[in-house]
Amino acid sequence: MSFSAETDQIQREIDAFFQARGRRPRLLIGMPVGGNGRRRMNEAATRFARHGFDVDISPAHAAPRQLARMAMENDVHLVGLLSDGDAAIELTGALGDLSRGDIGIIVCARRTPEADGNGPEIPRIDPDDADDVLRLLKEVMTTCPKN
Amino acid sequence: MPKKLTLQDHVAGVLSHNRQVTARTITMIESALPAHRRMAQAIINDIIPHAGKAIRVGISGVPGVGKSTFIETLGMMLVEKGHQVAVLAVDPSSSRSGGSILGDKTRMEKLSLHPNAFIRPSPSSGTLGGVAQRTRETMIVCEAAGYDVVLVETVGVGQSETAVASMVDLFLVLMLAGAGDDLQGIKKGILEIADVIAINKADGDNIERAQAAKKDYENALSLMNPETPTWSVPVLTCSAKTMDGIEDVWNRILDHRRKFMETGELAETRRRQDVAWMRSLVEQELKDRFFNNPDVKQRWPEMVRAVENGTISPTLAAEKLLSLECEVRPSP
Ligand SMILES: Nc1nc2c(ncn2[C@@H]2O[C@H](COP(=O)(O)OP(=O)(O)OP(=O)(O)O)[C@@H](O)[C@H]2O)c(=O)[nH]1
Ligand SMILES: [Mg+2]
Repeated sequence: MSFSAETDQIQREIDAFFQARGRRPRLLIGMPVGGNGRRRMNEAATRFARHGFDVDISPAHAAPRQLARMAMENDVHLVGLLSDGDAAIELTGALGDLSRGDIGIIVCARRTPEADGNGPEIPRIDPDDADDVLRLLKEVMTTCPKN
Repeated sequence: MPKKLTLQDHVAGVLSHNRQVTARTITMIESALPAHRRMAQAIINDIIPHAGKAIRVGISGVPGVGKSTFIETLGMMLVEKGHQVAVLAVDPSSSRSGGSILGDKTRMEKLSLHPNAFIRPSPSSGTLGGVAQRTRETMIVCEAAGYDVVLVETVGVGQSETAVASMVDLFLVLMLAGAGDDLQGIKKGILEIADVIAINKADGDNIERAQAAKKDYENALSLMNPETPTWSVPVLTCSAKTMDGIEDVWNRILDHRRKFMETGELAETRRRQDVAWMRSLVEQELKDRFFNNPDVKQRWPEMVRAVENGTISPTLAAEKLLSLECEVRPSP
């Protein structure tokens, strides 16, 4: 697929989402405690916004419990972490505690061979990879509740 | 999984200060779906008797003046005094194709985690009218949910300031010292809309310049006729970073409130704002109906071409299109 064909397809998915849900897919990018990379966070935010997502950015070093609260308060569809590991597991629990287990969790990073072996629970989405973004959009479209 | 909320769920949840339901109610308000809009209107109708008790403050200023940092500092001071603080934003950067980046919470690190605060940045897609409408409704939801201070941040560009001024009790404008700007230009319009002016970043080696700017603004203000004998606009200095002067800004806000309550001007302002709100709702609805009318949608492109080709006059084209939606009565 050519770059622009993929971009068009993402655009169509976003439009379809907007038509169905009344808003764009909304993503909170979080940097959990111990994480670093405010720059990576901003880069990921810019990429996703360019694809047509509405993107919230958390303050630096938010605990998973705090990220969950923010996700609930901003009523996002997804939380994007910069790396997987304990934070993702804790976040799953924290969202569940707030009865928002429906909010999806992704890791905004390039897929690596090792990471692929880590189990399918937390999808890795590279915002620079159009196929990844399309996969994510299709997933959100089917799993997110309609209100 | 959260279940779909009924009207009763929304109303009961908001009134019982349930954060999750309050958040999802705001989503209904922000939604572009007609079904969601209808739900939002029904919710507003039910909760509006419980709203109206908050202090509504608009906060404006050029990008980078420190609005978000100021809200973090003021907001923390207020929640520590026992207030419940809601923070909203109006940013009508309309008609962009991509999504919005909502970074407000990155500057509100402590406030965004405080149990007595609720911060809801809203995506900026849409028209200013639409964004203002939503913010007003969101403010009602926050008040019904028990927030007794609502702070509305807006960028310092003319139209969105006016929109925010039409929904708050008091308009605070943050300024920078010695940005080398001409006193006449930007400030004239701002001076007309501001109820309190605060020169921010009055810290470190900027204090003296802030003091000088304060004098300049006071002079400029002294040349203007006050809008009401009740109030002359104070010029203060503060630092959102060190907290210096923040308490003073808040005390002036309270002072304004007290005086305007005593004279009845606060109630009068809100009545006027309600009438303007009704008017803009009607205007919006008429517009929506017209542009969503299938006949209009169908004929529109053809009319555009005809006007471009000069085969029909713009006035006649408009008349024909309007007649598809509304009965056009012959003039008497
Ligand atoms: N020295 C000093 N710096 C400040 C103060 N208030 C804000 N800043 C800094 O000014 C910069 C902009 O602050 P923000 O709070 O993001 O400004 P804003 O007006 O909300 O900006 P926009 O939302 O982009 O319009 C940040 O780097 C702040 O740290 C202050 O009182 N003193
Ligand atoms: Mg800001």
